[in-house]
Amino acid sequence: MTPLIEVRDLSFRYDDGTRALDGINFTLHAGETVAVLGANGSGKTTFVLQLNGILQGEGSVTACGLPVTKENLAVIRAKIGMVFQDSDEQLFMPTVLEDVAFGPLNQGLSAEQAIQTARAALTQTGMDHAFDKAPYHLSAGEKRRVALAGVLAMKPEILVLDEPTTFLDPPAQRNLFHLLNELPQAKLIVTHHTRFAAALAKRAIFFEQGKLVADGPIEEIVRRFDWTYPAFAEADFRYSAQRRF
Amino acid sequence: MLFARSYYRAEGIHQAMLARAFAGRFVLINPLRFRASDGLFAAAIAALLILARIQ
Repeated sequence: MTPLIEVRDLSFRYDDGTRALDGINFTLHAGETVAVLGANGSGKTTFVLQLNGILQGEGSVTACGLPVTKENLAVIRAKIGMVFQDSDEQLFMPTVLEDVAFGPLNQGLSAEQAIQTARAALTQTGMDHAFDKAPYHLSAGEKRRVALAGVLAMKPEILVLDEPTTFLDPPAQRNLFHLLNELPQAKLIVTHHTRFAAALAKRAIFFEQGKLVADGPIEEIVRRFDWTYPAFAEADFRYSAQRRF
Repeated sequence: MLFARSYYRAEGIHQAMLARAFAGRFVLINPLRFRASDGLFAAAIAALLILARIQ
């Protein structure tokens, strides 16, 4: 079976000369969920932006059997749904329904079909009560669900979620988990929240200074890089209070 | 700094639009049309500006 995503020897430099990705090799198969871990600025976001050609480096990227080149971008962007770190950057239309219909309309659906698809997607993410609301009036959890609906409305085969849990309170994180857990698509989850990631993904990849340094079972990688948040015992807080940093 | 921030915010939004198959042309559910009310609005604003200029 052809893999959904195949990345070979991918390197990327930003315009200012910063080397952000260095010799990346990666394969994603249908139905797989992979956590993308690594320090801030290690290249995780830059990496996922290569998959649908928003950034393009040297090397080869193939998505759903198609090389990521200019001619294929429209098809590939419909197949890879991306939910960005900052929902405020993703939601830009005056109402929730129009925002979710944005993708389907760009795909060439008629206004009626687009509205229908958007309604269905919003119902799927539990946001069917907010069709006519302005996106910036919503809570962070609701914004994230609208952003996800906007992506699901395009019927993607792969979901890429960049820091999906940021700004969300515990119940919203739980809801997001259940929602994602039920979606059949292959998923790439960029996150620092390893417990959330481990609940959804068996496999993880780890970035370090633009290099993909590990690929394997998530528990093993979390242990190897000591990638969990400290439990912050009471004593720790007293320590920092006295120290004043 | 404010300029740089708005520049990066705009870039982020553009990336998000591209990711949802935006190809440079806006397709809206309700296409905007120039109506009499728009003409009236433009005239009112123009009148206001001229008035402000005269005084």
